[in-house]
Amino acid sequence: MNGTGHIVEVLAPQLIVVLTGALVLVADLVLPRREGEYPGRTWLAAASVTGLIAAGVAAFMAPANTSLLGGTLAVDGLSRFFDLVFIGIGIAVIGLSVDSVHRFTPWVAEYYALVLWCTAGNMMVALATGLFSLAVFLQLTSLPLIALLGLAKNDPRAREAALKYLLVVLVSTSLLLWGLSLVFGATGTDDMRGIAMAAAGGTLPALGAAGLVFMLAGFAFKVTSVPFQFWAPDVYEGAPPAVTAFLSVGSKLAGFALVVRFLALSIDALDISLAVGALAVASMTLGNLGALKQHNIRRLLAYSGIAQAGYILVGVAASSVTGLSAVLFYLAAYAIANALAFTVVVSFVDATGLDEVGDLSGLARRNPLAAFALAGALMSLAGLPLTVGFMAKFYVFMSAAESGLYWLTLAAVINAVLAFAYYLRIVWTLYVSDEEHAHVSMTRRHALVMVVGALGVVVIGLFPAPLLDAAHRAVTALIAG
Amino acid sequence: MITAAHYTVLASGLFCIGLFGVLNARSALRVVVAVELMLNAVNLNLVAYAVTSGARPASALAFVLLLIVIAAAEVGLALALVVALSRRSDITAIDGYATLKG
Repeated sequence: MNGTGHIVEVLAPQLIVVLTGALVLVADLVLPRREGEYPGRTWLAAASVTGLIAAGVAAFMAPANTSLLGGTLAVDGLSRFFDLVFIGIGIAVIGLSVDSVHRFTPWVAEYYALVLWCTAGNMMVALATGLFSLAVFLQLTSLPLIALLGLAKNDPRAREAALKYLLVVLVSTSLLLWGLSLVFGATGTDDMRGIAMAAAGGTLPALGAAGLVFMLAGFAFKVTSVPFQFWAPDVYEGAPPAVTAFLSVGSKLAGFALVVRFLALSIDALDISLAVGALAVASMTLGNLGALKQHNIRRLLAYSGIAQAGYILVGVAASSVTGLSAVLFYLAAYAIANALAFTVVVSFVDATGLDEVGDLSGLARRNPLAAFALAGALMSLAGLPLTVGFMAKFYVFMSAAESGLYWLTLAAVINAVLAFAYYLRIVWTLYVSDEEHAHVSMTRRHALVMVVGALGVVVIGLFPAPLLDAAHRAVTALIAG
Repeated sequence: MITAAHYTVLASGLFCIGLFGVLNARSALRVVVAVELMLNAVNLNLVAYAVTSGARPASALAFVLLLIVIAAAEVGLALALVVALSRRSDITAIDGYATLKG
């Protein structure tokens, strides 16, 4: 059962994504170029999307509930959930890059290949149950992103964003690995469950506990929560908008994928409610207060993303089956709403080159679909009823109350109300404005992504049961197994 | 008799020097060099634990090999980026980059 054939069969989705990336690079060499024109670039995007769809099909067909490489990789309901989410994110990001990627970089094929490899890395992170493999896969998600940020040419803001992201990746990775080495020394294992058991049994020496704190830096960097959230606003604002969209959704969800798995494996051994709850409150408050005074839409979405990470940590702090299922539901809801918001931003920046909140004024008359999509996304992020974001917030906050963390639920609700101020300010700008501005055009692909995203926000908001069931089943299977 | 504790002290020292370098360096290249020190401290720690603990977990040693490769990739990427940045703007000092803030 454990031959190479078995590994290929089980990891088919990830391998397909990696190979598609390589294929795109090779295709770039043979596709014809005419001076200044490169008609093949649309085909590269089409090939990437086809590869991702094939990987999605493979994820459905691959055998479930097996473990690989001596139990350091687990293919189960959780990994399949995240496979599909990451593939969806990859397709959306490529869909909204097609029309603009050649404007900010001459390396179009490299761009798609890096998006694909980063997606593969995200999918692998969701599989890892051993810290060694986890650390390797985290690099597989971070390194392509550094290169993606570095691809942007002739834009001083993008240059600064790339340098800042590089330095943060280097430092947070070193802290994570240092913590890992200490934990390994203290417990003699890299298995998540084994470490949780050692910590619960009180046999973890002080050095090992210090190691866990160091590792937290690496995780906080991925999910942009306190104490490693400071990089997000600068990088989100400076990076090309399509890359920001990818960063704000893919990278953050990869971080939460590993948090959910670690917690599910250690749920009966560790009590981390207080520590995670404190981080959640700090992230929510810092993100919301920061967002209140922002004028740049991308910077505002970065602070909003820090606050959203805080809300998600509320569900993590509940450390119960309900809490973790709510977290998975929230992650899917966040991915849809945030990707939708960034689709509008990408489309707007492509058309006008502007990215201040004030520039969006009167968008409802200048481009009704974009305004509606952005309003829907922001209302979902704010958690207004009839959107998927409302159900997500409801489940997460309820799970914290169910675990007896009433103070945390209260803090989260206060923060959610505070956040209305800046989300609804933008919606107000979109719809209520007397100024006359020119029509904002957008491409058909952007319109398609917007329609799909807006449908997702509304339809899952009205019928949340199937997604919640899927999340619940994934978590129960994980804890029972 | 040299035990795992000795190696941990040595590695901790190396790591702290690296961390000090990261926090104090004004040039992006110096940060990269300091990060290398931190990564090597990690490698030293892992090898020491893997060899001195009776079980000799092979996975740790394999991981160290992978880490060396990853560190090389990381530095390659970092150098490429820093060189590209300095070509375009003549700035490698980190605090020269302060357009994005707020």
